[in-house]
Amino acid sequence: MRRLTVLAIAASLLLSVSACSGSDGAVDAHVDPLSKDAESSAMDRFSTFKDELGGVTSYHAEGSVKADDGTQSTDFLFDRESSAFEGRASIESGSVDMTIELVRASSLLWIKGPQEYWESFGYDATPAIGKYVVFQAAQGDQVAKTYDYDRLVSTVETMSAGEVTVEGEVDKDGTDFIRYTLGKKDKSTLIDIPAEGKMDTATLVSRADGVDATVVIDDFDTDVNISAPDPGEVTQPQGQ
Amino acid sequence: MKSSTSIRLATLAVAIPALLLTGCQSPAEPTADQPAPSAEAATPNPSSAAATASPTPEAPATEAAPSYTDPSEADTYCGAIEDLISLSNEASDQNEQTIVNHMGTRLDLLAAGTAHIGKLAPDEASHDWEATGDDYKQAADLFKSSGGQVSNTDFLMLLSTATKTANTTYEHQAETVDEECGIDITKLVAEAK
Repeated sequence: MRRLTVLAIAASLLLSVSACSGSDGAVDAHVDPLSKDAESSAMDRFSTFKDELGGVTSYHAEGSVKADDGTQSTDFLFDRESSAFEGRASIESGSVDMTIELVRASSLLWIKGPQEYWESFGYDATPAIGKYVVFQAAQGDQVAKTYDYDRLVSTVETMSAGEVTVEGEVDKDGTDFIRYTLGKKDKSTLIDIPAEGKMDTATLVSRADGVDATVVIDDFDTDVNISAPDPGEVTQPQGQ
Repeated sequence: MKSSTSIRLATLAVAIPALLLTGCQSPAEPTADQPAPSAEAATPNPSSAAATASPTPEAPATEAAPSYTDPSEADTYCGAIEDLISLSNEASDQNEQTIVNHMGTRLDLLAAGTAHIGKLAPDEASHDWEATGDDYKQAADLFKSSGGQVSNTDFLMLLSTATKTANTTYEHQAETVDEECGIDITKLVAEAK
């Protein structure tokens, strides 16, 4: 059931920086260019945001990835101090409509998903119903990468001024944001930061191979308590 | 939307949850007389996962599962402490690989056993034993939730903490235990793993 692979592939595309070509979506929001002075202030603003981001220990992230055959939505909490995250990923694709829950903690990964999720990989899903399945360390690392938005967020912190371009102002539901291009124009991620007031949210926008992906981060330094599921919630290997 | 996006084969990493789903038992709290998980649970690759989509019989163990003493079943404080020493001796008689293979069972016994001693101990002694039980339980829980991944860093840290707490308890409580039971628990300190 190949469609289900959109879950993994679309999320991984979000983190890629391959070239894209035009289409509709957040990437094509109308951008008002800024004056030279305003651009200079905008660069200072980005610099401040970048510094503040370095001190953020946790945040909430909502992602949306739209591909030809469906949409993946994600809703995660990230704990940067523990390199942990948890949340859910939902996919709507044709007649498929399912949600998986993920916990990434202690460098391990657990996924709870519906029967059809596991069956699509050829497994007998019976033991997994209502339980988290734990991954071996190496495989867990691989799968976790596709959902680990913090990798993307952290690259914002490494951007030097020379790699950032002020695009201009965009309006989102009545609020002004400043849009920046991070990295080279044709292989880039965009970031929208509030034009005024507290920079307590940001939107990363990325496109690769026709996939329109956005991640909105907010609730900086929110309370987090992410830990391994209790043993009773985890399906155990044979013999245990 | 460009129509060139195709649903390509995903990273098969998503298709390889290494543990489980091939004939797993329904999860139950491990008890002392069940064999602990093998620390070398085989990692199914996609081909073996497809082949073993129905429950497979458990592979025969290469040795008989050791039967450990369970201190939490003792009726008395001194009896439980004696059992704790027996448990420690049983483990020290085994080779490293066996200990690793039965890590989950042993941790459960240490957790339940020291907690039980805490309940039976004189009031001023309870706290030390209960703290030991709590720490062993944390290590045991992560071990089980990880499906027995013995080399996980967080697990190793929890195990190390539990061992330190246990050692501190044995040292602090040695005199009381000697007075009440005539048992020397300081030898547990050297053998704590």
